[in-house]
Amino acid sequence: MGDYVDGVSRSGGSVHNVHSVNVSKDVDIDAIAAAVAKAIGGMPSFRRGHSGEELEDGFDNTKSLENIAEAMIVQRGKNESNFEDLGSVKKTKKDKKDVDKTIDLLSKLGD
Amino acid sequence: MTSEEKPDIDVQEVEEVKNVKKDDKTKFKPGVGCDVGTSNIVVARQTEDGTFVNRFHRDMLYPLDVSDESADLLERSDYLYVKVAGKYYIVGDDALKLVNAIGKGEVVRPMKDGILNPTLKQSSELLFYIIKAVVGDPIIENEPLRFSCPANPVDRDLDNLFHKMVLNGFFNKMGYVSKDVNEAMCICYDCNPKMKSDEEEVPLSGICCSFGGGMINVALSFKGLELNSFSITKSGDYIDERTELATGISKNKIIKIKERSLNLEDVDVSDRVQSALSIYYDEMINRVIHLISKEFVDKNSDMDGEIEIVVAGGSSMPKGFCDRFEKCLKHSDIPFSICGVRHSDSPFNSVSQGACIRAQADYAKVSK
Repeated sequence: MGDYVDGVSRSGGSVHNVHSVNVSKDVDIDAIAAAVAKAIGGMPSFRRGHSGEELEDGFDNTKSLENIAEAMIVQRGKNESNFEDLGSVKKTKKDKKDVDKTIDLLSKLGD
Repeated sequence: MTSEEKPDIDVQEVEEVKNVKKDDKTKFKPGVGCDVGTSNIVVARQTEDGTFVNRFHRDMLYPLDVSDESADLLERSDYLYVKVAGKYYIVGDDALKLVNAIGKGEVVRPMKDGILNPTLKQSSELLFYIIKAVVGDPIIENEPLRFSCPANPVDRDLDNLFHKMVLNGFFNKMGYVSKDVNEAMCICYDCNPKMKSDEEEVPLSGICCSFGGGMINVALSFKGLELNSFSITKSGDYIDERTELATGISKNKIIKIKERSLNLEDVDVSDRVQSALSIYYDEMINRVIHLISKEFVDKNSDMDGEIEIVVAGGSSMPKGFCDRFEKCLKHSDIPFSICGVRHSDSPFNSVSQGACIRAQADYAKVSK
C-alpha cells in the first residue's frame, strides 16, 4: 500500500503492483479523473460498464449469415415420409380486372 | 366502409377440398405466393380465369420416438409423417388430432413468433420438407415466388434477416426466383384499401393488419408503397397461452374451441374458455390499436385523406372480430382519419394471395 501523487508512487513502486491506493486529501480527484478520461479518449469499454449487453461493433456479418443460411438448407441424413403432396385446397374467385390493375400498378414499382 | 357492408369487388370462396393431389392439368399464371406462417403454410397460384387456388397445411408436428408401437400405429393409420433424425413427426392437422386423442405430449412447430423456431433443432429441415410438399415445383424456369416475411417486432428483440435468408436460399434451391415481401403489404395487394380525398380515390393506400398465429403485422401503404411497418408478437398463440394459464385447459383444446365455436358477437360467458378468449381478444385488439397510434405518431406518418383499415389473418377469423376492432378504434389516438374497417373476404388466404399478386407483378416486369 502506498500514497500516489500525480500518478507517481512516493515510495517509487510500480502502479501495476499496487493493490489499493490512498490518495492524499490535497489531491484534486476531479482533475485526475478528467485527465484520465482525456487520456483514454473515446475508449468505449471504459464507459460501457458491466451490464453484459451486446453492443453494435459496426462489423458487417452478412456473409456469415448467408453461409449459415446455406448450411441450414442442406439435408442431413436420409429422411423418409409417406407423402409427396401435402395440403387441402381452397379456391377463391376475385374480380380479374381489379387484380390485373393491381398487378400492373405493382409491376411499375421497385422491390 | 364498415365490416357489415359488402365490398364492391366480386370475391367468393368457391370450393374447399381436403388433401388434394396437385393437378398438373390446371393452367396457372406464372408467379407463386407463399405465406409461411407460424400456424399454417398457405401457397397461392392464380388460374387464367382469375381464380386463386390456395393450398394450405397446418404448420404443426407431433413427435414420436421410433419404436415397434409407433411403427405399428403409423402402419395401421393414415397419418402423414416424416422421419427426421431418428424420430417420426406426424404432420399437419393429424398432429393436433393425435395429441388431443393421446392426451399427453405437445405439438411442436418449426416456426415460432413468425420466424424459424430456434428451440427446435430440426426446425429448418422439417419446415422445408413440408414447404416442398405444399409448394411443389416451378411451372416455368425461374418462376418468381414471393414469400411473406414479418417486419421486426416492436415488443421483442428479434431480427428476421436470418429467417429471410434461409427461406430465400431454400426457394431458390427449388428452382424459383424468390424474394420476400412484407406480410401486411400482402394484405394491401389482396384487399386494395383506398384513401378517399375530395378529388379522388387512391388505390392501395391505407393501414393493413395481418393477425397471424405468432405475430400481428401492420403496414401503412400509399399507392402500394410501404411507408411504415412493424410487428407485435402477442397474437393468436399469446391468446392461447394466456387462456391456458387462466383456465387450466390445455392449449390444444383451446385451439379447437377458438377455431370451431368462438363467436365474439355472442360469447357464452358460462364457458370459462370462451370468456377468457374474449378477454384476451379485447386485449390483443386494444394493444394493436395502441401501438398503431404510438408508432405512427412517433414517426410523424401523415396521409392527405381518409384511409381504410383492412384486416386479415387466421386470428381475425372469429365472428364479430371486425366489429370489436371498430369499437376499440373509436377510443384511439390514431393520427389519421379513418373511413372504415374492412375484413378481407378470404382472411385466411389474403397473405398468400397478396404475395401471389406481387409475384405476378415481378413476372410482368421481367416479361416486358
